[in-house]
Amino acid sequence: MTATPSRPARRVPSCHDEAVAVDAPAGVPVIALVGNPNVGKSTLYNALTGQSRDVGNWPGTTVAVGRTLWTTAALGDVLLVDLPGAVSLDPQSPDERLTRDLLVDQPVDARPDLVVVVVSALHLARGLYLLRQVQELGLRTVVAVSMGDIAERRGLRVDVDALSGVVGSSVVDVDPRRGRDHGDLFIAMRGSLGRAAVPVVAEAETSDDPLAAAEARFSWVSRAVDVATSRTAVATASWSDRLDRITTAPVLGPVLFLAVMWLLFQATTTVAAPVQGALDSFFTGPVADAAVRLLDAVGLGGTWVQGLVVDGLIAGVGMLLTFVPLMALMFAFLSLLEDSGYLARAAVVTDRTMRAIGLPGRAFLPLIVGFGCNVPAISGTRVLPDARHRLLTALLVPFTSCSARLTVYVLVATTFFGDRAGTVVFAMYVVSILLVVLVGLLLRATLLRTMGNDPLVLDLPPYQLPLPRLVLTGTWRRLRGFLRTASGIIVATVVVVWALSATPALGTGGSFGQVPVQDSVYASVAGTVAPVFEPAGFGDWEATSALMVGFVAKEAVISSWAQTYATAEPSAADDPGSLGDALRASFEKSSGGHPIPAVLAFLVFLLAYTPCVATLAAQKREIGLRWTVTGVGIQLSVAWILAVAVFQVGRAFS
Amino acid sequence: MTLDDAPLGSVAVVMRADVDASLGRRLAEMGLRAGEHVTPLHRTSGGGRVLAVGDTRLALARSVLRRIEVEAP
Repeated sequence: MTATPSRPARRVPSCHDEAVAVDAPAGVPVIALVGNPNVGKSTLYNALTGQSRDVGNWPGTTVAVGRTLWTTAALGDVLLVDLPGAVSLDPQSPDERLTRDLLVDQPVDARPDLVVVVVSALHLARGLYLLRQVQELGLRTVVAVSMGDIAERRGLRVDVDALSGVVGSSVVDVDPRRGRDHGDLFIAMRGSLGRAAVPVVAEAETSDDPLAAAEARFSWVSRAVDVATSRTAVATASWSDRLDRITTAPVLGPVLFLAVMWLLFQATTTVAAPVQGALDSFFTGPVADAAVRLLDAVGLGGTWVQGLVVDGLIAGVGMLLTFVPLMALMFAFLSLLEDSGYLARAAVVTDRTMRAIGLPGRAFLPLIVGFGCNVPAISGTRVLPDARHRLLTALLVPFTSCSARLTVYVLVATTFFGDRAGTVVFAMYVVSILLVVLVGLLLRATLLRTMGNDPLVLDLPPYQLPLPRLVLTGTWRRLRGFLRTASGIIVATVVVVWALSATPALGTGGSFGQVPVQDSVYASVAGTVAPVFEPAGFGDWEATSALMVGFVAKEAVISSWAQTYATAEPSAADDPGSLGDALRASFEKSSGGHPIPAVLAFLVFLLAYTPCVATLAAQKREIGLRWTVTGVGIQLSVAWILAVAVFQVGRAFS
Repeated sequence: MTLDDAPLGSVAVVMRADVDASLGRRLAEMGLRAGEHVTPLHRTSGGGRVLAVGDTRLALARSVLRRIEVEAP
């Protein structure tokens, strides 16, 4: 390689404060990939480096910055940096600001050595506008034209040589989706790195008026587009347009959208549930039995070691793995929706409804999924290109009533309300929707005041057939990421709960691992917390310990009650049996004779507080620890205030 | 007339957009600039429209469409 300027190591800024910055080794040239959203930039990055980043037919799938120290035969060592999609260098969103930060707001010697501007043949003008802004900074540029195949099918041809002549940078064709060899690109990159960068006499510098500068750029772009493109066929209404006429239509569009959402909901509940159940019984059955036999054989049967292994580790890992089929389905569905281009249409259809709480239309998807299970719903917030919208949606998802909560509603409602149980359960769903709306408005008025709410201006990418390879690798990569982040938190929490309930409280005289739950540290912690719930009418250690277990997983609430009241676990949620009698007696006592308001308060609390530790693990991955903790604070406050209000108002009227 | 009431399926020329600077720039970057040709294709659920600007398809809310003035070519 020739004449690559050598320089000291420098840091590459990241969009997350806590993320690690990668130092470029001294002398290694830095090549940045920039491009408009949805032009195939991340797909090109993957094809070049073999690394997997999120790739979808949805603007803004690159959120953080990808960096790879990349060794190539043609170029030697280079640091390749994949930046978020940007329409221009005038930042409109946090993701665009990051691109601008890396290119513009840097000392000259810390800027990339070469910028590869990925331009879609379908939207040549838009891409060239960005190219012009990069050129004005005096950076070396290479233009990679993607989606030439789709453009040709639409009767539009881009002549890369002619384009190179007008824009003054090397221009090459790339087809990253199908992973062609990128020999042309390598040659262009090598040639460009060897040349001195010549700052363009910027239109921006000839005028102080940003509008005039933009106008000058637009006319430069128009000239380039005229020279470089030719029509090979008259554009007719394409099948993509005909499909749009249906998918975004006033009546058919929403119907189709609801059908797709119904399928998604079915996939994350009906289809995943039996697999989840089977995995669960596999872990509590054969795996636990085998562990017990093994421990017996080595003389540890019946000791605390057995408790740790069976009730702690195996239960924890089992719980984690029961989420795998659910998450895999959710991620595969998301990949399909993204890669096909339908997601953008769904966003158009739901836009007006969601804007009521200040979110764009596509926020509908994670919120719908939340009613099945909050965990994949949190990961589903990735369909939102704006980080602020992702944050707000991830904070709202826990208020959607997941199916694990439903089993508790049914048991409690059947116990206390008999024939009217159905109405009570329905009311819980209505309250859930109201909570999403109200907490959304509340957050927008307080913590997230600065969030913008621009009206809908959305690019509809052409439909394309999803490539199975892209869908599968996308699903696997997201699943791996979930397992990596969630496994520690989930297993650790289950083990801690086991350890607390295996440790005898002071003065009870049991030994570790051999103590009834009411004499354990766990019960005494519950007893200490219980007075907090007195104003809500359920301030006894039994209800409190069920809620504490519910923090780990809502499915565990019923079995915790069964253990606490030393009754058999009911065979079905709508047949509470002796557990029902124990619950009635317990609520009667804790509420001072007003069990009905106390039970309603309990249900409302159960709906609104933290869904489960797996949701927290997913949140930590998407929005970071600080916001996850803030979210828990919001959930607990909202749940407590509502529960107290329900009990106090209910008691006054009963 | 504005893009909200321009006839569907026929070409119109953008005259001006009466929006704030940041939205105006975004529209311009997406190809909606004075002098450019645009064809409203169909109405969307929610009262907006899908527009063809060259080979780009844009979905715009009604509130934006009302602020973009166009003329027949």
